[in-house]
Amino acid sequence: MGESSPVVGEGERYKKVHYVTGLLTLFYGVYMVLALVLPLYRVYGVLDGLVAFSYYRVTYYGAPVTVDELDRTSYMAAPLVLFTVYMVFSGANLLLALLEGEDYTVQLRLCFTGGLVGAVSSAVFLGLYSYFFTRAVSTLSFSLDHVTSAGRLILGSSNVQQFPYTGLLLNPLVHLVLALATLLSSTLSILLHTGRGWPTKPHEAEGPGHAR
Amino acid sequence: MYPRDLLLLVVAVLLVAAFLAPYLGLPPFALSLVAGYSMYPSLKPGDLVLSTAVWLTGFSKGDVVIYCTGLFHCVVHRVVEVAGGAVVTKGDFNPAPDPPVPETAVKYREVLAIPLVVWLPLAVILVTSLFVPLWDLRRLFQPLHLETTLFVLFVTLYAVFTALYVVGQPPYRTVLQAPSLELAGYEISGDYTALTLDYSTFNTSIVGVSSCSVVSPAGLYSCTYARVVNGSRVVIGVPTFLYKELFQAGVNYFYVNLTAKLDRGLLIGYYPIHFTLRKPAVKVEGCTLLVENTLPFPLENVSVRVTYVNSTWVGLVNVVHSRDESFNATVEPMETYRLELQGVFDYAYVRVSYYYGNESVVWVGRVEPCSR
Repeated sequence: MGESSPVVGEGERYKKVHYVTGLLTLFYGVYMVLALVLPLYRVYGVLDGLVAFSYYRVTYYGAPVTVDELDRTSYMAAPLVLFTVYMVFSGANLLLALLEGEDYTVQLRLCFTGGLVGAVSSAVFLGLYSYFFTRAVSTLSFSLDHVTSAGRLILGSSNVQQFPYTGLLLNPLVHLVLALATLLSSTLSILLHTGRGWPTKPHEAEGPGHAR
Repeated sequence: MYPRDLLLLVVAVLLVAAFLAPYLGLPPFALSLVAGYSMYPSLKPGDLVLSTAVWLTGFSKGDVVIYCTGLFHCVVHRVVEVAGGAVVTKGDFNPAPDPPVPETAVKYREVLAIPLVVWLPLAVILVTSLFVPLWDLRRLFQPLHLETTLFVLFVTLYAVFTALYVVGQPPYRTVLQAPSLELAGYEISGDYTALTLDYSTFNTSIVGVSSCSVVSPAGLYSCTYARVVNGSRVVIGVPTFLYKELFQAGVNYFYVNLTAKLDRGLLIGYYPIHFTLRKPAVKVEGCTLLVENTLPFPLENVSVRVTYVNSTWVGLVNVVHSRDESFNATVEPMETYRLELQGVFDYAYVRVSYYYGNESVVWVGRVEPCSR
């Protein structure tokens, strides 16, 4: 085996950290995908169906119904979907670049930005969104029993049950921890990748995978 | 300090002063954020209201004014009345006006409302441009510019979508039409044996009766039968002996306790049923005495006494002969007791007596012979 240059050797040594960054970013993205796609609540009774962050399907006595509040929260999930795609794309792109030995400076910066957005705003937004979402879901729990001149009508009720993983996926703290982990890892990666501080100019990069 | 920084400082101070103006009342202009739906659709939550001080422009009925009722709580409502130094305001979306406030409490009058979807992106772009060289995208990939741009983009997206959620239509709930039914009425059949309960149904129908009982002061009895007709009518059989017990107790009502199966649930009904019994009728048709029992129970101890009268002239004297016949009968429910007066007689007196509850009823009539 030929002896590699000290710079390249240093970069190779730090690749493990970059892989961790890529994996963390990808994991955070996949976690977000699960949070958006997996059904979080099961509705049963007179209403029947499943409710996820980004979609829902609920029937009332067998006929599909639209729930205004859930429609609104579904639209509100659009930036989260975009951010999720961004995180999956950034993480996967960094891993591919690392595997193929290409320059991954921009990918690292994208991962760093993803971590930053996730830590600073996504967790907050998700917390707010979870609040709106759970508030909308709570409207699906009701009883149709009532009293008329005919007497007491027992028509059943609609109940909402959350899945075992719902608490984990809806917890903004988990998102925050994942985002912070991604942010820390990507910050470390960038610092290690650039040696010290931020690169001053792009043309100063010394070759593929190096910005110094 | 650079001129740009000085300008930024001045703008920042002016903005802070404008937002604090409604509490201070002195600055000529004020900025306020709408926080509720009380003025919908004129003002929506998140709208930025630019207003001028009333000491500068004044206000009149119909203007949207701003007054503060406490620390961090100001009201942006429309003036509906100004009289006697007091101002009455009302939110366009509110059903009732607000309590009157002194005229001096009104500090500002709205001149312009900027929707959130307009001012928020503009503010984001203005703030972003302070940090990101939007006019030169080549510089985007320089250190920190890419990160800042993406970060600001995502934050803007989150802010705009949150704002859109908040400033959407006023909160309302999806209304699901619940199945329902009402009691439209009831009717007791002519022979008192059947009770028909009519319902007006909505999105449901009655499919069966799982239990039915008749409750009275005299006791609890099962219905003799119960059946559903056309999904909206229940016909139940009422035990006729119940009427006798109620009649003797001087009560003219009973209750029906019904549990009916619906196609979408269950109905538990408890209905007071009032009834009126028709008094037995005694009449004469030709030479026949008729005692009609219109009650749902036997009319017992009906006493009939017939006095046949014959008269003959003996010379100038009219000799009257009479003979009596008595009968006791029990007339079954809804049946008629017939007594045809036979034999030769000029006329007859009939006396029918029976007890109708605690009342002794006596009917007396004259019957002419059939052969006449």
